[in-house]
Amino acid sequence: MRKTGIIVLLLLFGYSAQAQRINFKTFVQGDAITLTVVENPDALNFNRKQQIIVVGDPATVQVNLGDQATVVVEIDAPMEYDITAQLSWSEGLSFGGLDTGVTVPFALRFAYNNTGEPTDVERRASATEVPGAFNTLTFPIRRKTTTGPPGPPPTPDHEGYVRPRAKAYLYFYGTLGPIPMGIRAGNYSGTIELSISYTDNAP
Amino acid sequence: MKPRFALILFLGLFSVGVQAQVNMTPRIVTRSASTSVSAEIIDNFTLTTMRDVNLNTPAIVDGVITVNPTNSPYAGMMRINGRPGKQIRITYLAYETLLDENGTGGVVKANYRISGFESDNQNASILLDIGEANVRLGPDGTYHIWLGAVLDIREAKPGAYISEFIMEIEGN
Repeated sequence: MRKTGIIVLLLLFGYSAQAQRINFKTFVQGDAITLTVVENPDALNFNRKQQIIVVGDPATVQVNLGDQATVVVEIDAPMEYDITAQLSWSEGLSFGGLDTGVTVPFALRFAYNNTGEPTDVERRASATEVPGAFNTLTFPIRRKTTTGPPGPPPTPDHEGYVRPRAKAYLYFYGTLGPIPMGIRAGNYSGTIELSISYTDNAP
Repeated sequence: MKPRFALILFLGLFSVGVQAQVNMTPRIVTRSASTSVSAEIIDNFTLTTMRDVNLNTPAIVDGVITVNPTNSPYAGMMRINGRPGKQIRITYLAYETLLDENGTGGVVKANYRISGFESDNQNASILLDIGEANVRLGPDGTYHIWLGAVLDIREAKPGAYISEFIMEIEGN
């Protein structure tokens, strides 16, 4: 009699484990976000805006959204995603990328476009500039229309279904300077790190 | 017999805990890109004229007007500003022949001489090589240049003689 009692207990525990194992599967098709730097892939180069930048110049060099020097990143993702862009950048450019104790002030500005215009000029014109002091931004890949009732919810992922994709753009520009007095002449550089993430809401 | 059963029960509990943890974590898809910011900055230096050379006041000795750059109060003065310790090259036109603007045929032969020093101390300044000099800016980023001249006016006739002293400075 004693032996039987123990077996029953074991079975109970086995059942409870099964109940916890319900899998809340999330419907994300692949890791389908791609990032491409489409304009100025090498750098946000201030010399493209002002060819000669001299030591001790009290004026700043400003690259604006519409300028050629602006770095443009193309984000290709499923259309109904809301993505989060997180940015970190060097607030001062250092000589040859080395720590020499003196840096040239750099303030990054950025903008995004999620309205899907066909040309670069149109996209820049309708881009939204993010106010300074922000370094994180969440926006939908395609802006929702403001008129009419909201559209239907996204189609759930299933076999043979291809999710519609769209492109959104991020623009990096900013201000350099004023250039400190008495610094060494040469190349000053820093980095801009961009991380795009998409988080499932499940469960 | 009893201890063995107890062990099996424990294992079951652990496996339950692990499963629950996995399901609670939301899935995050991340992509990152990086680019750089760059600016090529070049040195800046300026040349300021503090005082022009005065060739009218000095006395004429044997048909020659002499303004010594290292000690004459009539010497002209210029200041170069830039990065402390920066090496610069100065070139200037040392000899020049001036003709009378009125066409009288009068000739003045000018020989310009410059001297330089890191600070504003004319008496300590060093006469620089004829036509060319390599100097280094002082710790406060300045270099002073005094300009003097030896004017031979033996062949001059009354008239107007105009000259512009040209000095070029270049840095790297």
